[in-house]
Amino acid sequence: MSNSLDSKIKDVKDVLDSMPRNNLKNKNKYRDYVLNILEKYNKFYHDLYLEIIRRRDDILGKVKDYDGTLDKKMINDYYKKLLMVNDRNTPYEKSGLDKILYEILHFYKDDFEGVNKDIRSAIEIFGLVGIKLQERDFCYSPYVNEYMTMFMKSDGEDDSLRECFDKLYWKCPDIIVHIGLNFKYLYYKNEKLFSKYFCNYKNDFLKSESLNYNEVFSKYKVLVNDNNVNYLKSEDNLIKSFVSKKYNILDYSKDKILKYHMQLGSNSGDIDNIKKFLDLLVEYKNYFEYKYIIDDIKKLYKDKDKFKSSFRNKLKEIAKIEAKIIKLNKKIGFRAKFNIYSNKIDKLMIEINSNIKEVSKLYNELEIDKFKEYVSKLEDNVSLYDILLIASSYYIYLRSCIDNNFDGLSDIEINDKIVNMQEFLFSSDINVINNISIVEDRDVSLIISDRYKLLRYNITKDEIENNVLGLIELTKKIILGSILDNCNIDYEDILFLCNVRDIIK
Amino acid sequence: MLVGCGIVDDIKIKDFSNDELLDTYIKIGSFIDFLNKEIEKVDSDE
Repeated sequence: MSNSLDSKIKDVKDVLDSMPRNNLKNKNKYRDYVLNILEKYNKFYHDLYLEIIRRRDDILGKVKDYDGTLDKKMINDYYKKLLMVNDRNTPYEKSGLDKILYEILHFYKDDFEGVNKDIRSAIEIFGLVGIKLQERDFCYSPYVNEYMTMFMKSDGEDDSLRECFDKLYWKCPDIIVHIGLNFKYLYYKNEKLFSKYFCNYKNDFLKSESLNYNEVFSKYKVLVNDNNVNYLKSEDNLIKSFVSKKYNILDYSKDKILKYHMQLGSNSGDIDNIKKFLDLLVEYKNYFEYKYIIDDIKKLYKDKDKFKSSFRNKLKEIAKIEAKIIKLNKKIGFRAKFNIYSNKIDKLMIEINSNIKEVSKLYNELEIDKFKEYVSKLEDNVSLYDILLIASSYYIYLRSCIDNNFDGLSDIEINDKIVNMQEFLFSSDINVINNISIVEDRDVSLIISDRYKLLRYNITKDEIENNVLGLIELTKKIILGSILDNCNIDYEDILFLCNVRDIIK
Repeated sequence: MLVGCGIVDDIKIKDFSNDELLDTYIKIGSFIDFLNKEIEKVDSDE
């Protein structure tokens, strides 16, 4: 067909070349001839277009649709519940106050609205556990009290609040830091209520599931994995992945899949082992990526005797200074009430600020001390997987650990790292690092390569270490190829859809 | 449906393989572009 069409087109072009166009009459004749040809070819072009669309729609008609929206929502809700019943941290982290107060204390210079949103969220968290915060609770300084009084009266966004902030900011540039610290004070003052709330929440949740914590954790993993499998098995999603060029269909021809198997030393009947191998590669990649966290915690664990009561001791130290701050505020309140304005108020303010500065430093250390104290209570049998789960349960520690190991990361990049780590820990199949204890030094890549050498795979320890991403890519292609093999849509169909997408915009 | 219109009379579009169909569609599209340009050229000469 191609040759006869080419020759037909060539013939038309030859005829056109031979036609004179030297005067108006000839030009009109030439135009009429071209228009005549054009009409024929436009009709043909349209017929071809209709046939392409018919074939495309035929293929799409075979596709089994899949709507994962509900599953995703259910999985996300379950994940949030899982975080709230986490066995490894305190209500401070479970409630999310750790992250919100970190943001208030560190990013206020960038975004006034963002800070107010965080303040609102913090108030809501207290509300969740049954504590209705009032103006008088914000007692760190008269400025904090004045701003929060205005905040409680406003919807958090109006102009009067901004005016109030502008006025107070020049008197106390650290006002937002002081508000953040005031929230920390309120948390520890009400810690028992928080504990009670989360304890009840956990009991209710586990009772409703009729499972213990480890079982709900496993259930979540199963939900995520089932959803991923369903997603990949969904022909609709499969097609979208190819047509959107997430995957290149040319990588999935039968010849190519055979080549991948030869490269790996596997065979097409071996998909279950290849899937397990992929899980192990993903585990190794993440283990290697988060090794600096494991090493840091191992170091802390070696010195664990130093941290046995560091958190509670620091908390006592903070409470003493906070008592002073409250007392000084009362003195100012008394003078203001009876209109006794004098230099004495300024002196009291200086004293309050200096005490808050000291408390601020101690609170910064406190967050890390809390983590260290938790590590100090671990036993030798705690696994590397457990310690990563522990690290992921303490936002402040994890942030500081990332900060210490990577220069110049933005806030978004750090948070992405944290989310990726949690995703790995909560959803992946883990087989190696959950069997290595904190006191052991084992060669993870060797453990994996030895296991798969037994299955005659062409895998060495060096290859896993130097080319884990390449191996992940290779095994993923084999697995996707086997999914393609088992669905209603074949390689040719998807290739056609991809080409149609490129041709018909 | 004949690949007719006096172009290639002996083959039906439905008999085209997927590759042939898309190749032909591309070729005819380019040829139509060429023909349209020829008309533009003649018109601009006038």
